[in-house]
Amino acid sequence: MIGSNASERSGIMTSNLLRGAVLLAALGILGCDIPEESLGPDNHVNVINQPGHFEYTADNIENVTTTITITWQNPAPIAAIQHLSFTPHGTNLLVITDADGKQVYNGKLLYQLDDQTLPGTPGAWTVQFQLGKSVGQIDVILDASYPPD
Amino acid sequence: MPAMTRSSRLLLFLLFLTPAGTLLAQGMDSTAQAPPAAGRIAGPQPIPATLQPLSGPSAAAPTLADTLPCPDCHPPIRFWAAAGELMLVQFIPWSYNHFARDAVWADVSFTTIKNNLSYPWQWDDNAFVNNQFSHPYHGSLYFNSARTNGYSFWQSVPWPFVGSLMWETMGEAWAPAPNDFVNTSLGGIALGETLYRLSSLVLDNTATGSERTWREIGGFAIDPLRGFNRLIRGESGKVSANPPDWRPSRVLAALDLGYRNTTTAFSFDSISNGVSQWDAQFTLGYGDPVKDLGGKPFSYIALKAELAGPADSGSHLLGQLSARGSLAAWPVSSDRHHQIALSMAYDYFSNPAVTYGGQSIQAGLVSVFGAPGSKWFAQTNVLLNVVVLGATQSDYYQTIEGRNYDYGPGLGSLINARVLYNHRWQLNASYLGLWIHTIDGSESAHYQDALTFEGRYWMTKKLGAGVSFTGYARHSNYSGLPDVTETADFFRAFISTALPEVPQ
Repeated sequence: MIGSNASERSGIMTSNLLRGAVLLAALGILGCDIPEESLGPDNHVNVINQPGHFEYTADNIENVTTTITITWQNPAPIAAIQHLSFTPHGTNLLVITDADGKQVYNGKLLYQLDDQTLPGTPGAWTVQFQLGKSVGQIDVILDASYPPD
Repeated sequence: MPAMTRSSRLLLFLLFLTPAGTLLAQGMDSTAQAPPAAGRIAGPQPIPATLQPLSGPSAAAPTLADTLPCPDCHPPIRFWAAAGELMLVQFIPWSYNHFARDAVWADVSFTTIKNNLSYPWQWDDNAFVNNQFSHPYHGSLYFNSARTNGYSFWQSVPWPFVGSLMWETMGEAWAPAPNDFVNTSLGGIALGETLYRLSSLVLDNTATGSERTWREIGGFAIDPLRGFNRLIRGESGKVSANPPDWRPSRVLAALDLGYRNTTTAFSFDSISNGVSQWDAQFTLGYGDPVKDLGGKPFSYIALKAELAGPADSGSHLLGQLSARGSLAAWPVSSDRHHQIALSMAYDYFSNPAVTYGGQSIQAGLVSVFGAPGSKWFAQTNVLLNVVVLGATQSDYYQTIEGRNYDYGPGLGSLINARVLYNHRWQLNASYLGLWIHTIDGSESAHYQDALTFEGRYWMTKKLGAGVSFTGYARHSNYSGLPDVTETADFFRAFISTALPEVPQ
């Protein structure tokens, strides 16, 4: 009898767990359609744009879809990239083109990783952030970098 | 107190080292081999000896063991303990990352949970070992939170699914990843039940003294949640009977130590050009590969673990970890020598030439010819391999986070034959074919083939030597990019020790 009760209890618990899992999955599916936003004052956008050094930060990003394009003077052929962003949802791309318009970087906004661009022509570089239904915070630092001799 | 046999100690030690294969030769009928163990408290019924004899006196003679209680035979279901441990195995890694590492992704709140439930899931770009080993191992802990608290195999199956869902939505701020969910849940079941069974193999409720201590430590290392539960419930020192299903009907393990050479362009001088590594391979056949297929899930397990070094940049010290456990079987002949079998498998390969990991379900015909111990014995498998999710090395999808593989479901076949002649000569031949259709990564389809021949000669019941050759090929069709074909050959030479011993 004890075994039978235990078995029934476990059946009920298993069934409850399954119901919970289905409910969570349903919430995930139903909740996909959220109105898209743009960056605003709440995002505390901060840009440091100096020759050879560039920083862009924005936080509190909630479902933002936008493209931000900034011109930056890079006296070097390469830019070292410090990725400190945390964008857990959406499409979040960093695209960099050199002074000749050649794309030297196209990658995701990353969390705590260092990277660098391909070699390009020094001068007026274009830094572009492409956000699609983005959530999180952007924190990117670019520094002029020279290839080793 | 009788001392453990040397082979038992070695097998116990290897099991401790092995967190969770191809089939090994047929298991030995160890009941026939078991020498009496004086001073041991015998079990309540004949328990087939495996690693070493556990039941000394004949079952016909009533012993003290007949009066021993067997609390592990019908353990009560402890829902709250299971749920608490499910939370605990999530809280420990979360709190380490939140408090010690100050990781942003561990900074969870109602907002991050709401976002995880609201926004679409995203495939993640984590490194191969994280996604294909760490997540399944974490899932094995979810599985064992239930399994070691009185739940049966099938009752424990939902737990890694729920645990993974909880972690993905509430344990981290990253978007839930479908690859993590599949690897944690299915991999967690396969690894979880394997580890649970292996810990049963090591544990012995009738043992006392230092042997008992070492067995409990071993059981803890293999299945930490079970060890934790035995400790807090005072079961780790209590003498009682062993449940019959703690011992499989047969068991045979082999440890191969030797040399491996991997080449990606075969030529007669390729051995000098290839990657040379030391190689240690542990294979375990748990249960009878045919008779036990229709028993409880995972009554038969084939486990294989391989360490090779030095590890280069493209591989890890852990070169392979594969576990395949039986789920059900249906005899197609009256003598049960031919059966349609259903099993589930976990695979992890990371060597200088191959990167592949996956969760799969296998079904097909398993046959034996002859009887174990007879002059000729053979076993064959012809299986369809349904890959729920496979991770295959990609030539184009490379991320800075470390991901260099494509994800997708697939289909394949696994055909192998193993022949043992005169108790000494052993030949294994196997073919593995696999097609993976990428659904995340580079737009592609991957076709992989591996053909292996292995020969062994057992000089004694315990000591043997052998060589093996594997030819591997991967052809990857990419959309909009050049296709890639990669080939590799693996040559292995080794000495081998059988544990406990080759059937005679």
